[in-house]
Amino acid sequence: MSAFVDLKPATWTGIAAGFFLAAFASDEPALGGGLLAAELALAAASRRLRAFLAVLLAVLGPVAVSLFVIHGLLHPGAAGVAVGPLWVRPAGLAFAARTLGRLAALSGAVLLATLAIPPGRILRDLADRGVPPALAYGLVAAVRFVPETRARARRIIAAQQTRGLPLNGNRLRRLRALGALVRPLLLSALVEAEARGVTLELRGFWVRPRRPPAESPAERLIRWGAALGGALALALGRLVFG
Amino acid sequence: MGSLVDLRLKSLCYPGRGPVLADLTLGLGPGEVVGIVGPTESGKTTLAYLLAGLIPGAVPGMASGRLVIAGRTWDFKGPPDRREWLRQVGLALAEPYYQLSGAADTVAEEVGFPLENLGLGPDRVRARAAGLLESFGLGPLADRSPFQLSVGQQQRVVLGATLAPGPKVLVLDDAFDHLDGAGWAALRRVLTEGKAEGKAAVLLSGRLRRLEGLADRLLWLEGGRLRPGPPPRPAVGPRSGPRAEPGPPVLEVEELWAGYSPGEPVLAGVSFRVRAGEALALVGPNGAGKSTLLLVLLGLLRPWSGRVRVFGLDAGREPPWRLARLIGYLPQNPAEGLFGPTVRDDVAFGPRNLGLSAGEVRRRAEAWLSAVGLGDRAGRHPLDLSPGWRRLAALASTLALETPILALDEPTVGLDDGLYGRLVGLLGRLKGEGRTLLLVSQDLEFVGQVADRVVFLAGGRPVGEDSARALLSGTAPAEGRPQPDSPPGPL
Repeated sequence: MSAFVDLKPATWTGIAAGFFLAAFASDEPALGGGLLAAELALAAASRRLRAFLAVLLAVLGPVAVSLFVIHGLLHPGAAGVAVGPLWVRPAGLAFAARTLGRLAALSGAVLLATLAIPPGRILRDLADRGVPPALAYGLVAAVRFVPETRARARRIIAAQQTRGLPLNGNRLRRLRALGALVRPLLLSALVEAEARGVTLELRGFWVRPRRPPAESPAERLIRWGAALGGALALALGRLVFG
Repeated sequence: MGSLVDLRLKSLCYPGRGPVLADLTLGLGPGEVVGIVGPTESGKTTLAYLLAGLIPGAVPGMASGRLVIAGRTWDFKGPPDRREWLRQVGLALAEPYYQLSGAADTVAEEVGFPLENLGLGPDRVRARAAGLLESFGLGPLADRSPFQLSVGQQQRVVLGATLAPGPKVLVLDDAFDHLDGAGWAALRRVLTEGKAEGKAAVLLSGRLRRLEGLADRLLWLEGGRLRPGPPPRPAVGPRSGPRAEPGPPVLEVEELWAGYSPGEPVLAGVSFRVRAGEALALVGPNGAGKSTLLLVLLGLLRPWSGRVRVFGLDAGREPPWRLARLIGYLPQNPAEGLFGPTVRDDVAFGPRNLGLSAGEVRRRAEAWLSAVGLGDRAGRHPLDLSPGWRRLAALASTLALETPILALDEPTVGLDDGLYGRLVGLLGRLKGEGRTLLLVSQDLEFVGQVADRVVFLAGGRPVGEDSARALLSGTAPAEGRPQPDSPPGPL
């Protein structure tokens, strides 16, 4: 299992690309389901299953409900059967299942890439591959600090509430409260950016040597095999299913 | 004994300002630990930046003179070779959160990060990081995100990362205020080992007592100049008081369970009571749940189970802004809440939120600014103040709410001896007036001087209770309780 945790970001990207391409091979529900099952297994192997499921359900839950309700009841040109007071269209339900299967496989591929690769590892991998450290840091900082910024925003809201700032009431009152939350957030972000620059200097990040990460032939095989496998599946799917 | 550090500084200026440091000479031999004590804004951090090779370069500034470390001379004409300097000088500063690189996903990676930047292979990085994690008691936290740790735990991580390249000179600028007893013990061990290996350390603090017992020699920094000999000894005030006769319970916590993630309680069955006019301190190791407990009392974190009552009100149901009329709160990182164009505006913010008249808002702002000694700095931007003054600005804005209870989280961090004395005097006066104090602090000197009673927390549970006098006299904690956090030197 730990072998999956240690995979390089580029390898996870290759795996995700493979799943993404394969999802377009056909809209057969079995393909979508199979790809999703494989993605779930990989998420579990990389110890990200809980986060994977949470995000997937949050994203696809409302979509699934909409798809089945709209196509199950209103799918154009499909015959229907009466279920109580409703007129359900089986062809519409099948269409919803196919669409959902493909969407799930595509979303799973993207999630696999984003959840299995911690931002710090992407950053260090980019720097090791020769991307200038400042650029690499800038690219990853947006992802890296989203949760930290959210946590800081929560702390600031908490601090201002304990100074009597009410967060209820009319729009004008809430608008005034917004200033007391946004301004310290911006100010502290500026302070943090300056301090973080000093820290990276002290840790020697700006002079980090370029060092292409050592990786085993097996890992290279996984990366390219997954990406090419996905492309091949797509080509075959197009040939067979049109 | 040859010199390991030889600093001869003519002057150091920041752009657009006069000299911050001038005519300063500092020499350290191998195995020597020097303590530099100085009041806030005396240039301690600037001196630390200079030794770490940050000025000129990462921090804009101009210096003249020279610094020799282990035979390598640097003339301040440009930044030093950073890769070489990493092995010469390691610097840790006061606010640990800002010293997390943001480039590491786990504590182990954060500690090993400087070694990766030096080009060491993964196996050597892992081995060295594992040793440092062990030294600072961070082994069980190795796979956690450093951003999710308590401030005290983050301070240990920063110390580990600073020591990772094995610098010949360790510079700590108030980088110990959040350490608990185990953290202090680890720091002592590291310094002792460093001395044995012929390394040196420069420890900078605003509090003389922090450095006594750690440093071989003490120097005094004032007005940008370093003076030999022991700095003026701060007056040790009597225990605060007079204490008003404790009244009825104003704060009641019963079997409290709370946390941030399901199944991972931070507080596991905490119970205690505080009476009106009493000063209670919560003491315990880093990550014991002390700050979390304050969040529950303030209505900022809903309890999972148990009861929390503030003047009879259920804190688990009341919105925080309503509880703000009863409990004034000084957060651990007060800078995050300050945002006004001036300190005066920030102090007036709370009273204004309470819907008081303009005259009353003004009166309170001026009164509490003056009480903490910020009267002549009231027109400055709060973020332009030193960390010590910033903490007092946040305290003034808390006090301006004029609540019957004050909950203060690490109020002494960043204060120098003068500001510390002022804080202790002020809290003593408030206690004498009948205010109830709830203190969270790693500073046992402070706890001993201000608190009446101490509750020990460990692993989210109360593990004992004592009078603050017992804490001072060394009879507490009793057997079976965790060793509380003890700074070096006499209390």
